[in-house]
Amino acid sequence: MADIEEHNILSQLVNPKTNAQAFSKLVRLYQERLYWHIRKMVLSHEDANDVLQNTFMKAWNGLAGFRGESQISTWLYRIATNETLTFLTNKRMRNISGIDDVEGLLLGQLQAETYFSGNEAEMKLQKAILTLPEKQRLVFNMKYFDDLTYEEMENILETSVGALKASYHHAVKKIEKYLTEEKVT
Amino acid sequence: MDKELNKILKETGNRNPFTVPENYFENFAVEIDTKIGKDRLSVKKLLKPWLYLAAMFVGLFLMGNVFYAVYQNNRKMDADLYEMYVMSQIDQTVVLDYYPVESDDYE
Repeated sequence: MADIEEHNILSQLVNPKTNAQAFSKLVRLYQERLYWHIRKMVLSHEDANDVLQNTFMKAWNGLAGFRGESQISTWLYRIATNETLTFLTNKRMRNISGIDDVEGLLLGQLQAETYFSGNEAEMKLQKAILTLPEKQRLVFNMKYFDDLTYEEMENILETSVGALKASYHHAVKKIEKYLTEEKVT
Repeated sequence: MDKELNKILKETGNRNPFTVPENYFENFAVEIDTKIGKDRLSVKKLLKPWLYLAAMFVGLFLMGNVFYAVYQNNRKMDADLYEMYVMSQIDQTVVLDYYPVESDDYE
């Protein structure tokens, strides 16, 4: 069903007369999935909103360059991932002279976040995820929360299944270690 | 959930703990529609002055071509007229004296 819809949208996207309408459909179809993908990385709603807007505007401006070689969803996920990583890098650069590192800053934002309904255990899990390197965080979120297959992740992140499995395995071990230590203390 | 996860992670679960403001996604989609609309307009607006400038250059080039052709034509006509004038002012006997005499004439 989603494939048929994607195919229809794709044929409308290449036509200059219908591309704006088709893009509007595309936004409505993927905005939630992409928002959560970004939000789990940047944590704050405001930042996720900014990154999501940039993602869709980049996609709109790059529409002519999309040749349909990959699925639209993969293409959008790729843009969203790149935009998220760029956002975090910029944040790190801006904060280079600051007291906290970016992870500390993100943690502070998370604790002050209005739009967080998690319980204590879920907050601890988010803190544990924040101790991971960015790429591992990305892989862990995509597998653990979004339940994406390694093959889907391979297309989006352009990383081999083997490397993704290893990355996820390391992430799980680190998180478990963090949570076990937290439980003891 | 993954088999790899131990008890702690299984207990925590993979529920999404984040929320969004009310009607966020409805409003977001409308906002993007507006941005795309503005973007389409702004592309036209951006192109307009360049199109005018290009048209002006084409006009100037064509006018230049016409003026150059007229100028060249006038110059040629002036040169022809000047030659005719000079020739009319010269005494024909002087001209005949000026032309070199054929070598046979000396023999």
